[in-house]
Amino acid sequence: MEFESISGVRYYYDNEIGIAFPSHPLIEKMIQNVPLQEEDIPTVNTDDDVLFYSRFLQKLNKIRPRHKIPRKHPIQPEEVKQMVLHDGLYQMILGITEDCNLRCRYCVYSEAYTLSRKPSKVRMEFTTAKKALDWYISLVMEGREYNPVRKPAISFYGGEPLLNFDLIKKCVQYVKTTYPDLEFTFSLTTNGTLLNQEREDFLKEHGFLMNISIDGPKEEHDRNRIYQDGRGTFDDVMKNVRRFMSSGYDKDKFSSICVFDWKCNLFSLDAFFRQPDIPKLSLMTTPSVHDGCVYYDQFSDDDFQNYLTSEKKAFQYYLDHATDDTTRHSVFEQLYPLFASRFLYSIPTMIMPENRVIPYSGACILGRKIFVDVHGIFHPCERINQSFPIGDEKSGLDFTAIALIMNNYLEHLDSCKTCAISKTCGYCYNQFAQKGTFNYASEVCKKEEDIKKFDFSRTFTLGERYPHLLDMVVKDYYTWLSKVSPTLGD
Amino acid sequence: MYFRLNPECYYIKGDMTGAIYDLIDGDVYALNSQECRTIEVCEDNGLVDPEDPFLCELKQRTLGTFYEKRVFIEKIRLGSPIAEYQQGKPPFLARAFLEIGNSCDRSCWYCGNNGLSRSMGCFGCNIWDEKGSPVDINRWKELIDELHRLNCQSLFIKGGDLSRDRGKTREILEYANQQFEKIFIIGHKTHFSPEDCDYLKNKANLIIQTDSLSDIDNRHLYLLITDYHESRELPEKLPDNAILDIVSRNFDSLQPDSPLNSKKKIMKTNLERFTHNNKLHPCLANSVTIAWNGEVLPCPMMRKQSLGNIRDRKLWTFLKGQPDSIQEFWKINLNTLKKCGTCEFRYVCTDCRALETAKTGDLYAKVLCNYDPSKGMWQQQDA
Repeated sequence: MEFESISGVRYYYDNEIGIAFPSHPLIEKMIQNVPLQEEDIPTVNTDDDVLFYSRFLQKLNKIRPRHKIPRKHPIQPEEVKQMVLHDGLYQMILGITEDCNLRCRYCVYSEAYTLSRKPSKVRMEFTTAKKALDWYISLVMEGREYNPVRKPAISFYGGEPLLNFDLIKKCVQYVKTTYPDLEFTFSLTTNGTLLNQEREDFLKEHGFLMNISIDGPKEEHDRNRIYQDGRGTFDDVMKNVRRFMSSGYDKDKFSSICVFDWKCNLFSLDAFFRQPDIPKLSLMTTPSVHDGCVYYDQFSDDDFQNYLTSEKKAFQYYLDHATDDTTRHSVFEQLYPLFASRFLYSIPTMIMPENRVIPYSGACILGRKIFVDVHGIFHPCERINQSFPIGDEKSGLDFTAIALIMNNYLEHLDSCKTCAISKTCGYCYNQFAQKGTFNYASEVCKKEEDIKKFDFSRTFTLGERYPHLLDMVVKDYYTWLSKVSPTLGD
Repeated sequence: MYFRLNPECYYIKGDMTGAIYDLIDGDVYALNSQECRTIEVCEDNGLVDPEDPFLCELKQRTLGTFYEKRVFIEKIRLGSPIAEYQQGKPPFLARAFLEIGNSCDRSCWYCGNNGLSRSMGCFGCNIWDEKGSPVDINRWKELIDELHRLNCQSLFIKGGDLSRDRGKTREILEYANQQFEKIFIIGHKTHFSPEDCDYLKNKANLIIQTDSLSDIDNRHLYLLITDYHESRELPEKLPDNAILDIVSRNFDSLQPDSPLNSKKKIMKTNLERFTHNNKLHPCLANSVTIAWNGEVLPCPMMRKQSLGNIRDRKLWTFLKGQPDSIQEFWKINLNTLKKCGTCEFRYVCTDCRALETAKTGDLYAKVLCNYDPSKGMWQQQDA
């Protein structure tokens, strides 16, 4: 596949090797095995160039995968178990309540998502949480012989988990008392409105990592993040967060999750998250498009075009100011170098994809993390719809169910083998999920080549201007993120 | 015009000078300080003279080329730089040395028992005058199970003359064969009878220790022992299936062109080796040794560096990634050594911590090297 940076440099992406490099009329002819003509060769050093590019392509051929070994059999439950014990179980996420004191307009449990569950007063019972934790910890302990380095990580999620704060306290006390030899990491994803002194003292005492939903300055945040009566939540959130952050607790344990949409002002978002008393951004995302989403129906074509125009301006601004402040990883860093590095560095260069258990896409081995709902059902992730159960509090992780889901997923990757950009794919189960099964890749990925050309173009434009920027930002950002997210924000 | 090194070519800066590593063809090009300044301008996407003879030579060697506009060169790499930050990833165990014996009737002059230093003694059979009693056969089998669960990739079974207790050796080997594909058996050429060789065929690869070049045929792997002073008499190119093991009776008499301290230490590079050496020790990493008496060692030759004993602990407890774990040895990459950290050859150089420690008593010392990165110069033979 070929693409062009904004400055007009043409590049060739080689999907077999997994890298893109500057193209040249000679490279294009040589790759297509077209005999060279005089007029094909525009540069002065003709002979030099012919020799150089032919040798360069020969060199690349030396690292081109030669053997493709397709999997001979479906994934087996025992195989899944070995893989999970070896390189899974990074986190158990307890969804401890379906209740929330907010009614955020883009919430996946709101009316904007016709297929999702709706908020309810159902809360997880301690007996359910206890059993789920016992299963998780027993697997982590069994898994120590496979992966001695891993430590159990427990996250509390909702709804708004602070509505079930007593359960958080009981769970922490339970695991620390029952498993005193283990070192736990605890984290909490909260809207920040229900923090108070007592809760902060507890969270601090147990070293909680705090993921707080903040969508930017007041006018941005309050547009979507509102109480049930429609009032904005910004003032309450910031009062609590600022108090907590200035209480002597390690500021690096706080991170923000920001959701933005077509009506946001990227410049004011960026300026907001550069302030030192705002938790650093760990994730920027747009509202989900799955689960019968009608959220985007509110936007007109003009809204979308205006967003695209302002986003383009933001990119240009960032191009001119990228090195002004590299310490905060604010909105522009998230959208540009960090997005670019996640895109570029997730491409598995030199590895034969056919040898991987999931040879295509960026899907993990299910069991990398476990999300437990209020009823004690285990799910692969907090983001995927709840029609792919992988176990429960009564029987533990169900490796047969996992194998079935993964095999089903593989069957739906119908167009990946012939896809010219298969190695760039960062999609996982969530992007293909329907209720209990998956859409075919040939349907889901129709526009992918155009999307990837755009991503490549942006990434390489950044790299042309700042050759070392991606590596520098990745080092700073992921050094921090690895301390605040057990699965690096996945 | 602009000039950029190719995706496969990395510029590595040293204290005074630098080097270009070609990760496909494997060559390493030493640069003088002027050439380094030029390459640094290039890699920062600065303007250069298209007639610069140095850059033209690099193009002729297919290491880089000129561009009319600034370009981005994505370097080839193994794995994701982001995935490296994932906490709690399982340790990668490439090999385990299992010393299942410690007795031998021979009295080879180069045996570890004599306290001599060997450059590749880790692949020798060696016996040791050490305290302790042998690990029993059931514990060896348990260890094989534990290594399998840790996803260890290969086993090196060794320890004196393994034919002295042929039954035990075969039982352990057959047990290992059920779980491991890559198994190596190490011994002296006199240890294995033709029947032993037949039996071992398809079960394990033999690494045969010998001090005679004429013993080397194409049937096995060979560890060719040579006295340091006699190593010059060996042919420049040894057979591909022979590993040279240089035994030094006295370090102080090393010549500047010795393979132990000269330019000959620098290997060819490739993507795997470069990636590995960036993070980890070129030899110690991803390896563990269980001595005949159960002591867990970072290397078969580092007898004083025991981390504990597997009689009273499971093997995984030595791999927890904490300060008392074996990963502390794995992490001694050459970046962390004072002298090597500023050397442009730090990702292609060999390093033997066992030899360095034997000579200095310091785990982090570096004396077996005639290169001075602060001057960018090798000590000459006649110096």
